[in-house]
Amino acid sequence: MQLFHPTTIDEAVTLLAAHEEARCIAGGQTLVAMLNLGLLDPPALVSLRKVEGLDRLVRHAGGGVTMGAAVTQAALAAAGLPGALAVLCEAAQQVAHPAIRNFGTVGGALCHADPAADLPPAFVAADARLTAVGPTGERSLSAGDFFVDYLTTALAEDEILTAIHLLPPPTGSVGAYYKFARVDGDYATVSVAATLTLEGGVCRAARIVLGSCAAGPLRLDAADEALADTRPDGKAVARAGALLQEAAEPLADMRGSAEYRRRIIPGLVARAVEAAMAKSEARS
Amino acid sequence: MTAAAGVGLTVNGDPLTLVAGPGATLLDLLRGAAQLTGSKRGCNSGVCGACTVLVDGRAARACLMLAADCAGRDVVTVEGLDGDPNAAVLGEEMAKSGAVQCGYCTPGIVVALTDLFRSAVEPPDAEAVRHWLGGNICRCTGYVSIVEAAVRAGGRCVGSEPGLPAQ
Amino acid sequence: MNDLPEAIGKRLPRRDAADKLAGAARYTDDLARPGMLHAAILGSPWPSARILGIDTAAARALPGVKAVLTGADLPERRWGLFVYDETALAAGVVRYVGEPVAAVAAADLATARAAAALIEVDYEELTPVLSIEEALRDGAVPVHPHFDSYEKRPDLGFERVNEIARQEFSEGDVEAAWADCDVVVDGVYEVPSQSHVYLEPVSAIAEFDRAGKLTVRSANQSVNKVQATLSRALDLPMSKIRATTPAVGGAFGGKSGVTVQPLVAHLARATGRPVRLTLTREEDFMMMRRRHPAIVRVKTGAKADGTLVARDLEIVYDGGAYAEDSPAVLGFGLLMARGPYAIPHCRLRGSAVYTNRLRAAGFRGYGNPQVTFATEAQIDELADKLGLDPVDFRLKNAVTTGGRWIGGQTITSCGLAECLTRARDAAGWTGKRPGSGAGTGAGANGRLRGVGVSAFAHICGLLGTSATVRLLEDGTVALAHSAVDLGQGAEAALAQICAGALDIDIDRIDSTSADSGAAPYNWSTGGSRVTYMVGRAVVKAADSVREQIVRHAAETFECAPGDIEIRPGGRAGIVGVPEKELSFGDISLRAHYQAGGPIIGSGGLVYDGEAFDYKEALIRNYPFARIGTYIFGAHVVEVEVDTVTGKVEILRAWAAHDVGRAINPTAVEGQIQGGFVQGAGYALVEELLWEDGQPINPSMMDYKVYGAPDLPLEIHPIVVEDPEPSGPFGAKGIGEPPLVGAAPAIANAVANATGLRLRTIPMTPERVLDALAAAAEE
Repeated sequence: MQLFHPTTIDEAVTLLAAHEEARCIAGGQTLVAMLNLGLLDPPALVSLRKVEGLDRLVRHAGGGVTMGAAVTQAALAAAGLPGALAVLCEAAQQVAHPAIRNFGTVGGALCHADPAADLPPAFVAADARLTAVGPTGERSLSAGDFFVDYLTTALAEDEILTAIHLLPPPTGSVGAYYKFARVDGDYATVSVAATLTLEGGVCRAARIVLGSCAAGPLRLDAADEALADTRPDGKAVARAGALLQEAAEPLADMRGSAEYRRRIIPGLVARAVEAAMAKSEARS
Repeated sequence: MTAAAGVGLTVNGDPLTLVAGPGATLLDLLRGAAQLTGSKRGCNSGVCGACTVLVDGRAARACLMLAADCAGRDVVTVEGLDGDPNAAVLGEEMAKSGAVQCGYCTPGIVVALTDLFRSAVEPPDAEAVRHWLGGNICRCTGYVSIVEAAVRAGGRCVGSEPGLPAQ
Repeated sequence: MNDLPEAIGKRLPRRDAADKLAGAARYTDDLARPGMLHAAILGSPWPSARILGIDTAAARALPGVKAVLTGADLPERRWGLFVYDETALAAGVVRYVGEPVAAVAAADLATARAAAALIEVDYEELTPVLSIEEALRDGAVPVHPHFDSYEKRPDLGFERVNEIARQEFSEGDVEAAWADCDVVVDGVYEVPSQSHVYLEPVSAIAEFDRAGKLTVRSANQSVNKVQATLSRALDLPMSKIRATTPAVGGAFGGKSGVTVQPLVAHLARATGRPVRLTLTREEDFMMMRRRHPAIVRVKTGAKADGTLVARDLEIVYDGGAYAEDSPAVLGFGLLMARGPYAIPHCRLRGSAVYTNRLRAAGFRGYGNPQVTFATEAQIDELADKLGLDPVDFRLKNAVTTGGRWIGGQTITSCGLAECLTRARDAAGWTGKRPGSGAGTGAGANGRLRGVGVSAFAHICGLLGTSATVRLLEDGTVALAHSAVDLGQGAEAALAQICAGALDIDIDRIDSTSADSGAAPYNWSTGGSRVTYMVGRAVVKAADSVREQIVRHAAETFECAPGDIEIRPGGRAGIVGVPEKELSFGDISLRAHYQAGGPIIGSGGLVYDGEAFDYKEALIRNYPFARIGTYIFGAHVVEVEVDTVTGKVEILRAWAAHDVGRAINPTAVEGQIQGGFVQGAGYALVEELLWEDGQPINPSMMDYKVYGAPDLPLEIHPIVVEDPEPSGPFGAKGIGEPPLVGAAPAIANAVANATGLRLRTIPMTPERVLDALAAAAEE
């Protein structure tokens, strides 16, 4: 296994293209565990550690944020992002454990596309846009389009996720991440990322995204619409929860059966919405 | 790097060039070539925390760092904390409260908590310690004695001159 | 209390703490020997298969490979504790996924692992036996078709195919007694496979010297068992084997048998080089040991006034692919199945069976957690039906000092009632238990609160042990015994007992770690027996040293030995004459250089408590000649049940334990808190799972143990001291009971919170939610 240390993205893309089945390594917190277990044996690894600027988190005037793919989960957890973007910090705070978050990166977690991971649903809920760079140049795609299937993203083999962009969160927006797991630091049995835009207690827009309930983050237009223009009370939230429950196709594993996961969706959606609403109330 | 190759890094203040095979982790390097066996291999998958070391000043899982990717990094293991005043206070409190039993998790916990004390502005309370230690599995103590020792040690170390005796 | 020596009851820090804190303690995998090779194992992918052929050519051809062994390369010398059914490598047949099939020794670990991966095995899959039901059904496939031909202990009592052992422990007339009962509860309870998850994976280093002597350094709980089993496995006299124990990173029973030592010794013999094998965590999960899962059917009856009358219990333990100590686990479970109550009519029966899953073996509690989960849950079910407070109901029936255990032994010390009342009072029980029945628990946000209790017993006396105490030239002391410090604090506790017996400071005592070549015999570090049994041996050895010291002093002062007293701090002098005294150092020099010879005392014993009364009790095929000295405890736990997810959270726990005398209260409290937490894991999250015989969670990612954020800080140890007359300074044991009481107390708290009785553990969120949903439908 070869390990390369490019210093620019272009160099990294060239290396990736030149070596068949090469993989990028950023923090390595999942990838090295997989190497140790013999689940992966790539002929070459392209380390992004020395690529300039990839670990920068930039706050734009107006509240938007651009973060490099190699921003650590610890940095995101501590970033204190405003409004709906708080969903990202809360999700990052709940990834595994402190030492893992110190080195595990945002981009790495998104590109691994584990349906039980914390960051993918949060980035979909925050409606992030992702920049990918490949041999033919740069392209932009939404977080919703990025997650294609179980452990599969829309990235081509020779593309690298370089940055994540977040628009300024709307005034009155709030975000919360509610994770349910067997024990602290485990992968989610079911998680819910929620962002709401509230105006005088009325929800103008919502994005509710489930983790561990499908091959990727699960969001439904109908569920989000069920909350729009309501005071997100019991009925509307229950309707959104029921729609998501119906659409969910969770895996069954030692964390719970598919049926169990489906069953707890409405209650957890209600808790996530409640947590988000509580922030709005705390603010006003 | 295809076969074994030399990796230049700093370990406990010493600049070293250590030979690492392909796929070797920092933990392999430390326990093997560097002969620093204080960092323990409990799971080799980042769950148990027994191999916690400081990499560039931050707590890290030595088993999840590719050795070759540690070139140029600054690594501190539990052996490197010998003489660290915070580690000394912590050790004293842990020994006193029965927070050391089989000892296999102990080096990782000492490194993790020393990192917490160094970065904390205020003495961490029990809640903060419990969550900080989420990634350090102990199968012996039930954690109560560890958390209590850490809170007492934190009270002595953080925000005051290190090493002062408890009030 | 006042007449206790200074060293007893002192909160002394463990003496290896500084090394452990500094990363300087050396565990087996931290050690290297000159010229040492590294080993790797290839495990079976099938739960049951015949090995048709093994092609090792590619592995052997790999540069750096020094030996490749398969079962065919080893002499077929089977070993075991009750049934000689085990081999170092599978002999023609594999019986569980992970069973070692081939092993490699190579110059480095990467090469050894690469070579193991190159070994090709041709298997013919056989029909596996994957559950207790499958093992015992008519026409079941035998897991060991040649079971009849194995050497084994007589009187195992097995009757059916796949039964390893069948036993009974009964008194009175159960069938007739039901008529005297006003209330009877009947239930079937199921308990899971729990993995030990000691943090240090199993490891061993073996090497032969040129004279043919084998030295094995390994993580273990008994160098003497390692030595004896290696003797059989390798056909070497015990005098040609030395077994030692570096620091051990937890064991909990999982290292009490022989693990990989025979395999590593075979590799060392084949290569003529030292060989080290350390299992990966995944291998350790799949190849080592686990707690016996069990199905327990219990029926208990009581009179309306709360007097317990009768119990009928039948338990089946899943022993997995090899028998190991299954007969003893079964026997001990039955001894505990009456519980710490005077129930006059009991029929307690059970068996252990083979299945094509990982072997089950000793694990903190040793058959007791299984029965006690069932019986203590049932006691609460009975209390509920009788309308009695669960603590009062237990107190009414609790055994007391001078009472009798099932089988007729007299209970020589019993702090059970004090445990129950102190745990109850500390918990504020009455205020927290508004009554039983659905929805009574107060809570917020879809959460229900409840509180539950358990009472339980264990033993700390069995089998043999010994110790020596030597007076060094300067009057300090060398203590030797073969209790292993697994983290529990055996080293300090025994040194404190020795210091107490000689009335000197513990700093004046050095102890050797377990080493079959340097320390005297101890059956095992297990069974909660070290403080009590090895402690007694230490006191005996120290008493002999005292006698010799007195004799030397009497000779020196030319007085009668009866006029000599041992004074605190290591001096002997004439009674009533303070200035007439000698230090232990003076006496030791005299012994070494002038008269009498160096002072050495030894003490040994085999458990000598009362035997069972075979006239009063019907005891069939019982595996222990003598076992006893009962220890007691009671837990109260407060939980919160999330009705959205079904997750149970422990809010607070009070764990009261009668230890006779706490030699080192800090260590005792550590055992209580740590044991409780392992028991909480058993109750709520821990379970090894298989699908079609394949383990599906053999890693720390998938098999979860609790971390600090999952647990409350309020796990209150309550130490009850009801001195045991036969114990060293009154001490009994503590290692296992804290785990035993946790699961039933938690289950009873869940029942109090929800009004629902879960009879299967772990009470996973899914199981709890299923129960809540089923109740809502009714």
